[in-house]
Amino acid sequence: MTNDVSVFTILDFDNVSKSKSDFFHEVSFLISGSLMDEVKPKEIESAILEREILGTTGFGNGLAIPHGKVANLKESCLFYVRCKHDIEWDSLDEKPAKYIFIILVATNDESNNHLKILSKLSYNLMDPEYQEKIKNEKNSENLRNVIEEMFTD
Amino acid sequence: MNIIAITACPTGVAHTFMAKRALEDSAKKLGHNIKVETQGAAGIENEITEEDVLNADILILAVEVGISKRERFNNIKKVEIPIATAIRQADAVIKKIEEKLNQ
Repeated sequence: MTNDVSVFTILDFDNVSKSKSDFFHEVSFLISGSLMDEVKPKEIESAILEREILGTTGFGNGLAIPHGKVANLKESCLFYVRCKHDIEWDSLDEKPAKYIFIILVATNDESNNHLKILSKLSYNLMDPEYQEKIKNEKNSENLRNVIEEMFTD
Repeated sequence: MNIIAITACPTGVAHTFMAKRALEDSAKKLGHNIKVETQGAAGIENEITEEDVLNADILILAVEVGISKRERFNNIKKVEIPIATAIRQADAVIKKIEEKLNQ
């Protein structure tokens, strides 16, 4: 079910952002580039910020899952960024975040295929075993396998 | 206890499902049955039926947006909690419900 590779992209394994706002700004450009400019960086950044204002997406243990809704996107998709520095995220456990998943929800996609896959990811992200695997995995191919397992588990 | 729950958040792709997982894990750990309906971006999944409501002792609403089909729950005891509480403190929520229902 996850043959469609566009659902998940590892953007950066060593992101050097030092604050949440820098992170959102920079990552919005990275995402836009990886989507071949299908969505403009500004749209991505404001979608994520809009959601973040409603409540922190840092759910604890160094993990965060910022997300937002954008139009002009064919299918919902997921990106991963690991940060070099701890980023203050106002997380639920008040600890900084370092391992960041970004979800973009395509508001105009009615197939919902990717959406269901991504909701499995969110569901499985609560699992401490998966959290450890994600944090410790240094190899992008192996990380991809872990994520794919989470999509289907 | 038989617990039913609904989770829903503004975007409906992350916290809705994280809260579902947290509530399921805690309920199982504490020896209760639970069914969690999600009202997310892909619509209603794992929908709570009339029979589920009849058999349930309590409804947990971990919702931060208006939910659909709320009329199903007119005649059941319910607790409303912020979705962040479901994610971080599901054990405490369920223990508190145990206490209240045993009084």
